[in-house]
Amino acid sequence: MLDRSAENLAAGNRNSTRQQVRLGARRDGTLTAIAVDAVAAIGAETVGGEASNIVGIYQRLYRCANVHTRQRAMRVNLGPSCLLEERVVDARSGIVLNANLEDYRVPTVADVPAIVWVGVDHPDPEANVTGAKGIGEPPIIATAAAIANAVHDAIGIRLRDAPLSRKRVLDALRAARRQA
Amino acid sequence: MSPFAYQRAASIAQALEQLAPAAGEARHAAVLAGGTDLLPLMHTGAAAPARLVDIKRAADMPASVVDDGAGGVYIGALVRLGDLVRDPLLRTRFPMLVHAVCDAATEQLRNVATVGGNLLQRPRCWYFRNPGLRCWLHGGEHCLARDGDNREHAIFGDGPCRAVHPSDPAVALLALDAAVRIAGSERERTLAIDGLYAEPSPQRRRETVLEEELILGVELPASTAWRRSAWIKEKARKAWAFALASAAVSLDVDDGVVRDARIALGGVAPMPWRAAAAESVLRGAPADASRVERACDAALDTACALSDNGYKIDLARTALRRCLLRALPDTPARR
Repeated sequence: MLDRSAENLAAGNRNSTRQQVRLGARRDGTLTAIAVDAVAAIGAETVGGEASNIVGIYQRLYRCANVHTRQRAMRVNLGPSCLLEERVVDARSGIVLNANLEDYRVPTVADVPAIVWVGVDHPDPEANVTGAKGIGEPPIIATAAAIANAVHDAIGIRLRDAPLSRKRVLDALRAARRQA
Repeated sequence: MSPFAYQRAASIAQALEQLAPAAGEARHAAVLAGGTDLLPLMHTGAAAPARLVDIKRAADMPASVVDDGAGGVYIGALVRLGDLVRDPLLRTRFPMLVHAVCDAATEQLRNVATVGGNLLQRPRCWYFRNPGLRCWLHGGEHCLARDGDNREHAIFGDGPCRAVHPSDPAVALLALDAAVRIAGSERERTLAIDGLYAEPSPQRRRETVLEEELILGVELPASTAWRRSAWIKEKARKAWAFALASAAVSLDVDDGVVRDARIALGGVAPMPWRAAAAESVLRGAPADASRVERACDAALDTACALSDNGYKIDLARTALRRCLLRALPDTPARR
């Protein structure tokens, strides 16, 4: 099993975070309360995985029963796997046609829905010594499938390729009309 | 980027002098106003002017929105899109244009981009803009989109280029029967906005404005002020995206009968696309839902999809239907 420094090395770069921590303590040094408010950048440009559990560590590292934590993500990475983002390659030349931020479309603030964050705070001692679990990347896997299921529920056609672009949805509807 | 000279014009007359090709000059001069399209084009090599003629400080260049005294509005070419959105005259008489402008680009770009420059934007085609490729529009032999990835390309027009015209305001202006005032070294002329654009042909790879001419402003006529109108733009995401398909309609409805209709589609052709066949279906007829369906059929009847862009026919049809239902009185504005 990795020790803490090895774990840090193996996990690589961390997401950028801004953490506000307030501590309550008695004169003898005993911790009475910890309040943490953490904002993490979780997106295409940053690291997800184990490293993105920021507040879990406050729950376990200190001998203090009164710990309040709050963690918020700045941006949910729903684009790449699901609705918008796609690499377009010209089949003849092999040139990437959308290698710019105009044609490679990351979701804008207007596209991202309200984000509800729910932490499932069960430590996983098998994964690593801190018991921390990933929260940056794993939810995205389920998000894409959930939205694909919702599209299936809405139009009755199963789409098996991401992104679920307007072109893919309309092409599928058109093909279904032709078959009917 | 090719080397270029920078010149600042103090007046329209001086700008026109500077735009005229100098002796022995192989490349044209280009007008610089907002520069939001020109400068990126120069970066990728899709534009390589010999000189930039900056007209932003030309004292007599129209730069405001004014009442033409006859019920219409004159928009100066140097008016920024952001100012246009906030203009009270346009918001009351031509709200559909304001709606279309709000959908264009981003707030930051709109605060720099000018009306004149917006009308003369070059296509956003990813073959045209790619510095490593040389498509027909860039002086090459063939349209690379025709047999390439053409999911965002034209479903109308069978010319040598299938790139779509990127401007949202131009589509709205076409439905509002606008005209463009243009200054040249010989004379000033006024061109219906239909005439500003032409389908690409082997003889013509650009708009009908000549390199040495200058757009002075846009005239909006009293005849389309206060009309029932609507604008819908379908895009890949909710902000900062060019139209996959858009529709603009302005209707003159009297006692349930459509007296006049002007319909324009965007994102579907190398130029803002007038749906004249759909207009004649509506003109003189009672405005009901079945008539709307027939107009939509007529509008898309001549569409000819490429390998990847058939979905645009459905997208444009739905945008137009919703637009007409929104603009017509007493039809349920279904979404």
